[in-house]
Amino acid sequence: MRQLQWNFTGKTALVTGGSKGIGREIVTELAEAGARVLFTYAKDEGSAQSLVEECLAKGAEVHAIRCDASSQAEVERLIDTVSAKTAGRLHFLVNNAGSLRDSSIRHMSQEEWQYVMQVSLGSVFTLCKALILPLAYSKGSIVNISSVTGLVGQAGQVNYAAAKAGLIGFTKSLSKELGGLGVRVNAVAPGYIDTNMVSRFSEQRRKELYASISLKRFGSSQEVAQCALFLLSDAASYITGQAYVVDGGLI
Amino acid sequence: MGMESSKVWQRMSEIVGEMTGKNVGEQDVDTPMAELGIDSLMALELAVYLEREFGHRLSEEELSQIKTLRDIFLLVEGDRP
Repeated sequence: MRQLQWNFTGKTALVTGGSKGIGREIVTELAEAGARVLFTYAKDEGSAQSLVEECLAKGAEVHAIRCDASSQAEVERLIDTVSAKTAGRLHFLVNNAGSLRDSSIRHMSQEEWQYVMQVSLGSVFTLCKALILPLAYSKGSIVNISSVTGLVGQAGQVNYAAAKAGLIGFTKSLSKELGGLGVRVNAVAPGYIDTNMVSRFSEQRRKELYASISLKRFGSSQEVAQCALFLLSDAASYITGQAYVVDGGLI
Repeated sequence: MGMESSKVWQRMSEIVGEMTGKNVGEQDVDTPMAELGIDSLMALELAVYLEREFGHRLSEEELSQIKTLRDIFLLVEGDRP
């Protein structure tokens, strides 16, 4: 696949949930395009460290910060760390952290509901609120990673679907609040993407799912990252408040 | 400086009026904006509006230095003929 070439030299980015899957690809591509990248990871220090080393080997400046987005206290600590490392200058914020606690509503606990709402929505509110000023100085750009689940729903995921749909409403409202400051806010809603989150599907189940996708395959993390980078870049300078669906044409 | 007769100042006072509900005059140009009811985000918004209307792009460094209405005025009006 031909990749678009971005130039983000001199830009600083924060990506949450950056050590794996779509977040990892976004970190990698931002770093390759010359940005200085801070990313968070919840637990997997090995993955985070390997990503830092991969990027350093390419001459990029990347920092891993441990932060479990399900913990409000840790998100608040993250804000202090980011402020110290960026000296009040932030160009890009990618809210990508996400986690599943799937269950039918009958069996879903209050904790499973709260957990997913905090990781995918609560932490985004806290981060955006705290980082408006550094983003406004640089007329920066925010991309929130939502999901098609938030648009079409999925049995067993009332928590995840509600959080991801909520993220789209949040994106649209925040874009109206920050438009006057020159800060753009958009969302990307990926469909079935070949990451650990969907690797649990059997071959049979994959075939069934392919039948429901116009392009007859799952997408790659790279295909989602390209859309996110486009929305962050000046190429999207007149786009705000939108949710871009990257799902290969889910029927 | 004759700020009162400047188009930039006229727009500034209009926008500040819309934001805060108060009329500002030349006596307010060196007052810290917080005392005029303009917080740091409102100040940035004001600067960005003026930048768009008067076509002078402000840098990150300039935007982060704004403390008073005079700072904004000089940034936007400063290098105009």
